[in-house]
Amino acid sequence: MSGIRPARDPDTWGVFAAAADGRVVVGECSSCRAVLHLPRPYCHRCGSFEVGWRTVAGRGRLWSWTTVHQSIHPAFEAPYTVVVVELDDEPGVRLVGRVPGEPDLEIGMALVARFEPLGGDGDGALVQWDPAEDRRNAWVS
Amino acid sequence: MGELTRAAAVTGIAELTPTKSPPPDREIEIMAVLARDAIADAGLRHDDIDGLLVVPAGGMRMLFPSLLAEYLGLRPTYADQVDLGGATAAGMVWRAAAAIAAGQCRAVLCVMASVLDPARFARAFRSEGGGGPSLGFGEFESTYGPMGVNSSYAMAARRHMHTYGTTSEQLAKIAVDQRTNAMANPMAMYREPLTIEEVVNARLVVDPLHLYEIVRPCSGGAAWVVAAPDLALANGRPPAWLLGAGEKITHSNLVASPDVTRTPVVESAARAFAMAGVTPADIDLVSVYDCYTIMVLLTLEDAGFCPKGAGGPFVADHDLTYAGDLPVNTHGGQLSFGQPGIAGGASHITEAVRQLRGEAGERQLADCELAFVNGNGGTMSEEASLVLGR
Repeated sequence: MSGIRPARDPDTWGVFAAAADGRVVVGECSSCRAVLHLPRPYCHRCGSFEVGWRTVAGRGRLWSWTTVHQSIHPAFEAPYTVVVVELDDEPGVRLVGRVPGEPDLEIGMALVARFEPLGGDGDGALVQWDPAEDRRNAWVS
Repeated sequence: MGELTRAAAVTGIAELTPTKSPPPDREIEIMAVLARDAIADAGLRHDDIDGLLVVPAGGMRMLFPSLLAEYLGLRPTYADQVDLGGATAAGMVWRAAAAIAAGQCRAVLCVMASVLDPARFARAFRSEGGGGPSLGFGEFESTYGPMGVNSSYAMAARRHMHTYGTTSEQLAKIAVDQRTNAMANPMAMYREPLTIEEVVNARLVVDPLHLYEIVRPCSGGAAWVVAAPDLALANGRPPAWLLGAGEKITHSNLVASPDVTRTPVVESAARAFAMAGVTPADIDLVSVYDCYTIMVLLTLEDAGFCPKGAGGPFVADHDLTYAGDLPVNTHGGQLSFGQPGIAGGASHITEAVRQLRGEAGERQLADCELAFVNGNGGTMSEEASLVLGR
């Protein structure tokens, strides 16, 4: 994997560690079970600092997207498409993904998670997204 | 009528002509020039200034208000910095008025300047993929290909198009009418005629937003004085009274936005209008933050100038120029006037003051009594709304 690696931050690394294990997780409060997204070690609902991870289905709906035609980082050559995906199990939790080129997309389309190893000396992975239906249109074979 | 209604007025303005190439001066020197000129424009003396609101210059962060006060030779009884992105300028106006209403000061100098540093601008998008605790931007956005701010607004435009059928031609109309306004403003950076066809046929930067729908970086700055009623009235020029103000912050990261097609302008504008005791139908000038065409459309909807979702047909059916039935951003907006960094949001205030004073030259509105000003920060996350009036 080239580009920008996620920092190995104890508050957020659980997402990338779980992805390496083929799972999508969201942060949650261990006391009141509130979803904490973006992941953080503090529960805004009950004030607890006891937090953990909840595994959710790797399925979602396309919330919005844009094809970036002008590169703003040398590691990411335009055009590429950034998608924001709302999780089926936790509406309101949105994850970003990247799709090569200029795919044919529609807001609301069903997507399934794919896990892209970070490689190198890390053991994590990024959650990426493919179309759930009609795999012929998958942008990554 | 709220407690801040007519508690203070914007009574002096100074503004640099935005430039593509950075000026030779440092930001703090530019601030000094702007401060001097705004105080003079307010008809005040240096010693009258006893309040100071600033944005840190050139990457300076800690203790900047006292540093600038010392540089300017001021010893204020109220000083602070405001950090609301594009909502900073509008946020400063009501904070200044509140400090005056509280009796802590009588004349607040608000100042901001931005010298474009291309290297710094590029670095801003090259942070590694982590922001530390609770700053998930790095891990959860940058790692996927830095979205930059552009992408956030493209996502909003995309969802608005999907949900309400808004078209690129309707969004382009905003850029075109504002360009017509800029052609009547000698200070505007972009003054060549622009058509809807040219906007929609220009290259896409972040689909569905085209080149002329996006602000381009430049250098510039602005300062203004918010003063107590007696000081404002002593100036020879009509004061721009603060009649109403409202603010709302909902999130920081785009993915945490409650609804990217419904901005917190709903709350900030409602509060401002209620305090002023007026409605959108009463407004003569709409002077609102326009980092992107979509932001103007969202602001018009969320402030109540048209129903939610009707912004596309609304901007197509109304003439947004200074000669039109709903003048919007008569200075050209940041899209055509220029967006000198953080100071871009100040241009909506300076233009409202000019129009209320009757000093807008060729683009002067026939009878401008009420202006609606909105500042928008981050990812449609910070909103500050003002009603200013004669």
